[in-house]
Amino acid sequence: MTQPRKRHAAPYLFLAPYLIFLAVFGVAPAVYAVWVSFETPEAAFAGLANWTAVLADARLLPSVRNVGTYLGLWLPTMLVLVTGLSLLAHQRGGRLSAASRFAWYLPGAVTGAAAALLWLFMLSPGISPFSPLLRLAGVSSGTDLLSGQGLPVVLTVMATTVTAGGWIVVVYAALNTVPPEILEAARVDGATAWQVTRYIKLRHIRPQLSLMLISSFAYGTQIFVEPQVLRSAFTSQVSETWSVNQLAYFFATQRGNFGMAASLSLMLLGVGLLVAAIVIAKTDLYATGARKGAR
Amino acid sequence: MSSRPRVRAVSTATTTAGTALAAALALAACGTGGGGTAAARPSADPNAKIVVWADATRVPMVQEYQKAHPAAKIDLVTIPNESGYIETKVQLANRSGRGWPDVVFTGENIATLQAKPYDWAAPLDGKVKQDVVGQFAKSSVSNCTIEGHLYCLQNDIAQTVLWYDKGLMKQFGYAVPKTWKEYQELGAKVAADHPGYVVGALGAHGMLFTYYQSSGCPMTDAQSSTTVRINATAVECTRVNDLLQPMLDNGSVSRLDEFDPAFVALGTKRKILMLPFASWAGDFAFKPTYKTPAGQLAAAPMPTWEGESTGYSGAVGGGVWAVGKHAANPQGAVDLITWLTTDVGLQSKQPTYPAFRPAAKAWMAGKANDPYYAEDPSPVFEAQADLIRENWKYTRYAATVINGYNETVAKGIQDKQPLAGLLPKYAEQLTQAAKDAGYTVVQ
Amino acid sequence: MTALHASTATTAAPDTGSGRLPRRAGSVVGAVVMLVSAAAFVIPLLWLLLAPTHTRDRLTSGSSLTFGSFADLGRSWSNLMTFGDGLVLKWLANSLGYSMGAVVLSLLMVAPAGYALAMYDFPGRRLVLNATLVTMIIPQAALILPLYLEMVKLQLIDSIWSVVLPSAFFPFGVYLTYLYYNDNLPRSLVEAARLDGASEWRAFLSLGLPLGRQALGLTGFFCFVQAWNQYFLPFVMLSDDGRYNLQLGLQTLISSTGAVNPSYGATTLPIHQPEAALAALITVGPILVIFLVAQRYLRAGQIGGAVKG
Repeated sequence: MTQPRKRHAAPYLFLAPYLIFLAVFGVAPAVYAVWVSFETPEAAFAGLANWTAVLADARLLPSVRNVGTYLGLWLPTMLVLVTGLSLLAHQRGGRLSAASRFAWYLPGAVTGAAAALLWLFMLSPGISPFSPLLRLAGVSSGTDLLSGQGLPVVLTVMATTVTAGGWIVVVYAALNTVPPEILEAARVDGATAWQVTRYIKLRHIRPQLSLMLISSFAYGTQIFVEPQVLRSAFTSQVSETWSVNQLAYFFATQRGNFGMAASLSLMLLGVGLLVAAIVIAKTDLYATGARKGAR
Repeated sequence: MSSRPRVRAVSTATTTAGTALAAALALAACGTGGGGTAAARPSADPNAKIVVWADATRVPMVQEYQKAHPAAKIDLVTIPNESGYIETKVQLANRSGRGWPDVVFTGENIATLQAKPYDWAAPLDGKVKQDVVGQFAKSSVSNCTIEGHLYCLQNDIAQTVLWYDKGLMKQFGYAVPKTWKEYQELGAKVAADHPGYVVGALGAHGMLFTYYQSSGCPMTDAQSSTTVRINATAVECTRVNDLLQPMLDNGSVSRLDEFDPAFVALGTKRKILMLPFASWAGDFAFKPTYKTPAGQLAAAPMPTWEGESTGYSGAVGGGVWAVGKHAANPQGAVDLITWLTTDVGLQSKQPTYPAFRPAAKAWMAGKANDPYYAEDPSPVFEAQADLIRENWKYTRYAATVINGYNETVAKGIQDKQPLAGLLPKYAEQLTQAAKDAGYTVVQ
Repeated sequence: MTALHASTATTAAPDTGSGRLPRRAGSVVGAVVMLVSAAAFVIPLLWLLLAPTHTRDRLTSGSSLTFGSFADLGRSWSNLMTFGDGLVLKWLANSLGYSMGAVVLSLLMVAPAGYALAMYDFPGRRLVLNATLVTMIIPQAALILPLYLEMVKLQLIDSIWSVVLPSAFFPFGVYLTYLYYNDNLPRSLVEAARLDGASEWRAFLSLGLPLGRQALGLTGFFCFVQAWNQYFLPFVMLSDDGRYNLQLGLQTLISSTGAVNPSYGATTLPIHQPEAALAALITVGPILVIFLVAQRYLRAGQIGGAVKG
């Protein structure tokens, strides 16, 4: 009699500390954020004013376009680079492969303000070790590099170096779990290396790649720190409301309007949730998780 | 399965949650030592601590005050010199009713901090002696005056002057231009005879103040706290466009930011013949960055426009000290900022030109014998300090004035678009920002 | 082991005589691609390591990627230490404290939570998972004001807890451990322990904890990185520069000196490019060490989706 009752209580007890934090630092602030989005800066009820003000703001569309351009460049880059380098490293194996994977992965440690500072230096001809390359490309100053559509390209390079290595580790690990029997069978059937790659390996790492795209999508839509710090050196080339998230912070910090910041953030969250919902529906992440990668 | 055990389980979980939260709070209480010193108090307390926020460069000034006034209780904090930092903190404090700074070092955003929704700055009328206020430069007092009340004391002035490389000018046989017309003609001559040399730059907001403010182009011409004049087609704007467009085209005025590495390279190759720019540029741009050799650099008065007999200046920066409404010790806070801005011994050692005239005199005495300059720049500094164009005020959209110029005009210049088209676009952006900030915009 | 098999199996695939040459050429091209890309990834880091050993002039005239001198490194160091009287070291200590505090707290709640979500079916399980997922992707701008007001209510503003507690809330870790237990700890094992008379708690301690070590190690790693990189949380919560973490401190340092952009105005602080690079190096250093240690975990763990941004 006591046994089943204990078993019913057990999961809640195990979860209790986490649930407190989930409530206090997750759910409650999120609910309150919804409330804030209907408030004026003086904490009076604002109705839909913040939401309409955000949608009517002339800066919204350009920032959405900027982030869109960036994602359009970055996600395919990640897909090609991570897939290509993982396959290459896996194909070769040995010391070169291990050393390369390590090198790809290391820049992941340099994030936030330090990363942006480092990249400021990397983009300054004269200081940068890539100066000869920059000069070859006709870039005489950081301003040159960032003019026109330069910024999304630079951000793509930055984000790729930071995150690609980690995903290569994951995809490489998944490649190691291709059952040897299958490869053996393919070999017996006379499959070429290309066919093995195309039909066996690529198919095998699909869950990891799609997980990468989803998580990168969420990460990319919220881009903030990188353009913000690049701005500190190239004020004329990087707008302070370049990305959607920057615009949200602009509302909060420059206009003192947390309500507009909250409503824009909630719109962003809406997009994220939509993508997450599609993924969960398609892959049933809850039930199986990353089973394939874990074996 | 019956539902009873489940109910039990939930209630157990809630109890556990409650105890854990209490424990967390008890645990956390140990760590809350110094919070909450700035809570609003109904009456002034002359012994209350003064919370001072300043950027790293001004922190030593406050430390000097502590040395000179050992009894003063000061809580000094280095803050990021980032736009929006003080505003965000003040707005958060407004929501929670605590955590305001008592004294801040800031700049043109004082107008924002004074107005709603921030409503932070306290009027200084009556707390600073009128004869002290009278000794500040004229533009400094007008910058700090909002609706007839004084809200800040200016720390330093960044009046523009016409910097020139005396040695090079002599070598090329050029005379220093007295009017903008002569400046333009000299530019054409330089472009023809010495291509690659420059007499100015236009690619960053510093030059907005240098050229457009000094001309009086109405972009932040606040006529009251609710009305502002913005008009890109005013002659004070178009004459600057007409002056600079040919100079950009012939290359005598650079399209770059004056601190862009490519422009700095011009400096190190000694190709900057002239550069109208802030008074601090001598010590902080030419000497360390452009590396103009000693004994070459000199400052001339700003050139004059046709029909005017005086060469007016713009102001590239210049910080202010302000006191907050919620200060527990308002008189102590005012005494602090008064000392910081008016102590001659302190101000004469500061890197930038003091706004307080007696301190400026002492400061210039130090410059007079500086062997770096070809001739003493201080008479020019002194004259220009009182000639800052007055229809250019601190407004509640000050951040857009700078960012808008960079994003619209400077970027357009670098993309080789004509100034005549860029300026109206910029004015449009300012008009929108001004309306957002609650101004009525007139032409 | 399997990796070895897999790669030998593919490379040992039968070649027709004509296919051999392109294959070898392809292999050379592959090696070159790997080397070049690896170099491109590592050169910025190398630059960062070497930059503080140069004077400002040498650095800006392009003698990067060489070692300057120890004397110059010493000068960069002592210049950096003049900033707020060694404030950078204080920030370093704060960052370490905040991050380790967050890791310890988060592991204490993540381990049992992930275990419970994977090992039990109970009402509300899906709700918890959904809430976890949603809180994982909320943009932080929405949370500034709510979190701040909450901390004010809890009287924690400007204390270390205002940074540590929200950093310790790490839903991604719960997700990760949940997935890991789901895949690696068969429920039958726990059932067997129960039949042997073990209590639920005992089963968690003797089975859950040891078998979840890898996932917990990874959670700790990611939580540390996440807590280390916090910028807006301390920005909002802390008003005392002595309590800043390194990220906020680095931004304070960069923004109030001419290190990156001389137009920040007239300042006589001796903080220039080499000092800024040194400060960045101090900011990155500990996380780099953690990365080196964690690499073993990442390789051994082989958990799909375990890496986030």
